[in-house]
Amino acid sequence: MASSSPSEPQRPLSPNIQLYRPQLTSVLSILNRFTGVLLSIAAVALVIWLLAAAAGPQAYAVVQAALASWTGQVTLFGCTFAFFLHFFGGIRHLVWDTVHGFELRTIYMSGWAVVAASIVMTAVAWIASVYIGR
Amino acid sequence: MERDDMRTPLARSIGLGSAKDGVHHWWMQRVSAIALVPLTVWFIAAIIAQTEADYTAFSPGCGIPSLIS
Repeated sequence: MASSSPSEPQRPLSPNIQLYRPQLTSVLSILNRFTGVLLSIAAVALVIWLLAAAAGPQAYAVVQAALASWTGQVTLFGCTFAFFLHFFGGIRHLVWDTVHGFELRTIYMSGWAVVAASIVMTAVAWIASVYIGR
Repeated sequence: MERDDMRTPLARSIGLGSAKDGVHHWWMQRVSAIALVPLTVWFIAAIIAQTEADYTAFSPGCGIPSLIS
């Protein structure tokens, strides 16, 4: 059914996201939007944390227990990485706004720099957190 | 001045077209974005400093007047 008859010419397909091979540029673009949405949701969770602190020790203990749980820690770790990816991605966008760094070589270098910086800073944040927590 | 204006006389008279504040808005977005670079780092550091803080340690730490005790 989908195969074209010999009389029909093979027309190019539009770059559908399910057909297109993922590239660093496209993946980072998607992740920048995705982490932006995720961080907006995390901001609501942050307000819940502050509300619990304002409500009193009992409410705060509930939120602290949720954050200290296994799922809470994994979520926090994910949010930390999402923050740094969006943060460094945002700086990359600010550079692009000055009409710099659009050469193919540069755009891949800045892309990998964003990934590397995000991994390093997430690790630094959690090492600092564990150090302070002791 | 009217050389490149492709609007109809009616559209021109009722002021259709851009709102003329796009560039200013663009600049304000860049300014706020650059301001947020140090502010968010400071904010994350402030949250990390609250790791393992119990209620008595956290509450004055973020300047919340304690309503209970």
